Amino acid sequence: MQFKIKKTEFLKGLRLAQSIADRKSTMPMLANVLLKLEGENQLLVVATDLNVSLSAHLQSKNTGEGGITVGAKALHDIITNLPGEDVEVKRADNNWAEIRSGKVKYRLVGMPDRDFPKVPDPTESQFQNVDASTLRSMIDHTLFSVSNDETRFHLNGVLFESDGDNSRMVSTDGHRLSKIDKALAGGPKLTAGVIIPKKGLLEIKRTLDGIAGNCELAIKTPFLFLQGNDIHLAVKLIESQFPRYEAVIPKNNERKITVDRGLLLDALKRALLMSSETRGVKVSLGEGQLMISSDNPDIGEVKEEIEAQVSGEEVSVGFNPKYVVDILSQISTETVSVEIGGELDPVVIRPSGELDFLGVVMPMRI
Amino acid sequence: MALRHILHVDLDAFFASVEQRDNPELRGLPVLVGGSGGRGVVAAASYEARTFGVHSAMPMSEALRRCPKAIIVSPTMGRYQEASTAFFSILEDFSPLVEGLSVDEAFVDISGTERLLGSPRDVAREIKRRVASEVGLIASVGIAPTKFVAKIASDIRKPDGLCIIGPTEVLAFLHPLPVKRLWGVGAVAQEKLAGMGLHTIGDVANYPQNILEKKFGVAQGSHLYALANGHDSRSVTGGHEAVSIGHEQTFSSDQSDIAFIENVLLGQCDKVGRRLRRHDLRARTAVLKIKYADFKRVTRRQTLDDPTSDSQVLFQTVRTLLRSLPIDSNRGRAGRVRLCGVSAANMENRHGPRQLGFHEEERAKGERLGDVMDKIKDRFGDLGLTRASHTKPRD
Repeated sequence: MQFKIKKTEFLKGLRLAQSIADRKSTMPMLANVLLKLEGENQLLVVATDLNVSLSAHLQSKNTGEGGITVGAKALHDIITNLPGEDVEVKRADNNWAEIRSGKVKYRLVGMPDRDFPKVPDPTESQFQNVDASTLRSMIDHTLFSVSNDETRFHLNGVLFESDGDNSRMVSTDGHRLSKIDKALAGGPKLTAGVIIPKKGLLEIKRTLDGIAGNCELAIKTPFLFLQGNDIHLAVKLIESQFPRYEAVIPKNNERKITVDRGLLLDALKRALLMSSETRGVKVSLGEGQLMISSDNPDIGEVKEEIEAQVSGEEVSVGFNPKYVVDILSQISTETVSVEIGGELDPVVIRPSGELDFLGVVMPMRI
Repeated sequence: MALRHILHVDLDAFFASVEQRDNPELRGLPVLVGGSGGRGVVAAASYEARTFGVHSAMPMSEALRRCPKAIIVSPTMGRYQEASTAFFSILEDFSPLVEGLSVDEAFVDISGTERLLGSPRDVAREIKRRVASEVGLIASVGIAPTKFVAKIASDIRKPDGLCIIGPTEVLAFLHPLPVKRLWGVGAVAQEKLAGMGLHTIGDVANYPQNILEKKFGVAQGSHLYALANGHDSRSVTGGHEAVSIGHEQTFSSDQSDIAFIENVLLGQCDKVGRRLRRHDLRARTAVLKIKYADFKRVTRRQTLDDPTSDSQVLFQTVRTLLRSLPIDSNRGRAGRVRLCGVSAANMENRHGPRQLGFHEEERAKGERLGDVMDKIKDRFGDLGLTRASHTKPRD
């Protein structure tokens, strides 16, 4: 078994493969990437952590048949650093892999390809063409508020709802929530939402980066399949119930503020210098202005006033500034609207005049 | 100042006892822990070896001359540390005022806990019983109104001692003892005191304080005089900011039964939660520790979205961590568990700023339940309220 391949072509698959391969698993094989010859002109590169699986079909010139597996990270790093344009890989005795490029020769310890786990087969799924950049933007708007607490696995991903024309993504970690609606023509027709895990979303984002125009998407529980640019991704969905998120989005917060997005963002970043995520900053409503302050007995204190249109009674609300910064960073309009209830009620932040995106943040008790 | 009850708890022949506990073939034999090289020193000697006149800090060559049949064991610090941690967490169940002097001894101030925990004698017995059953080691305890007397008291009946010196017995107890028992009296001072005709603590107590101060300087002179008269106002200074709070337990036999291990973890989470609440803390990180029968150690930690003092949340977290580990009787010693433990880390003040959640009520309920359980246990003892899974069937 032997093949020749262009370095750039090889890296197209290996870059994604090495980020998926799982070096910490108790199954050593999962740290490896499978390289398998398909006919005379195609190389199949496969990596999986059993939840996210990648198959890349790359152009190569093959001799013989069969496959081999080697450490994904090592192979990626070696190929990245090779001097020439062309790479030759050959399986030697005892599953060693010989890698040559120009005058460089590597030998890598491998494992037999027959022990590599099977990855989900998408052939029976119905793929639809959807706009890759829309999908990517939706992920960006929600990924940041996914929970990292692995004991709450139903929150470890983004809820994806789609009716074929419109789609929605929602995520929450119990302290904050983000929700985005977008027209996604040709999207899957789902009767109920599915939860896409965080690691899967990161790999989907990486894959979408290499795709201009449309990608192909299919959801066949328990998997989401994505294809484009010779890459096939299979993501195992989180099989659990996403919480009823509508209930925590306040509808009638009586205090309404319109404020310049950049001003608010910069003021919060300045306040953060005197604060920490566990201490919080205080936002107080005044006439025609917001007062942003933070104090830390160990460092000092800061106060800043920024102009704003404010309607409703005066109140002070404590926040983890990072939560507000995360939401503001996903908004591109010049001004944002902030809707506040009482000092311990959830706050809604959205781009002024746009209804497709919103963030909800629970205050801090300071 | 109100009468204080200070315990000095000391593990007998600590390193050597751990070795004998873990290697049954060493039991009953003279064991020396330490380096066996030419310059090795005895770090600990079992009581069997001590009968030959061997003691710790003695050169190994000298020890072997006195006791040629002694078995030398190299120290395994990891296991001593583990036993020490378990020892201290038992002490901390009795009082927040625990002051460690070294890995194997500590002062515990239990003043004012009588209505809660019973008499000092009961507390001492319970500590000895728990150290024996949970750590597998023997502790000697001294109880006295001062640290100085408590420390001597724990030493005087070793091994397996329990010595109580009441406030009226302090002088009668101290005065016949040799002056070298006084803190701060080494070989030089001892010789100096002997030169003054002072051999017992009683001699020092009856000597004029001003002459002692002249001979030893004001600081040391008054210190010796005060100690000899039973005065020692130093308090037990426990509770320097804890970095983590944990409980662990070595099983009496290796386990591969997940339900059994989970039940032990549940009990440990209850204890960790209780200590967090007692110190008004919340933990942001829960840590599971497992040691397999082949002594491979695994720690898994999870940072929580919500810092907690709720035992139930800690338990759900460590249980999830446990289930990701290979535990299986078919894997031999590599799949059986010898020890499990839970600890809480990354602590913050429970009354400090708090990030609220969408389901604040639910979360607050868990912590309130913990507070109520604590109150019941404070009033009726640990057995006043017990989880059904921790009860034993009646004989």
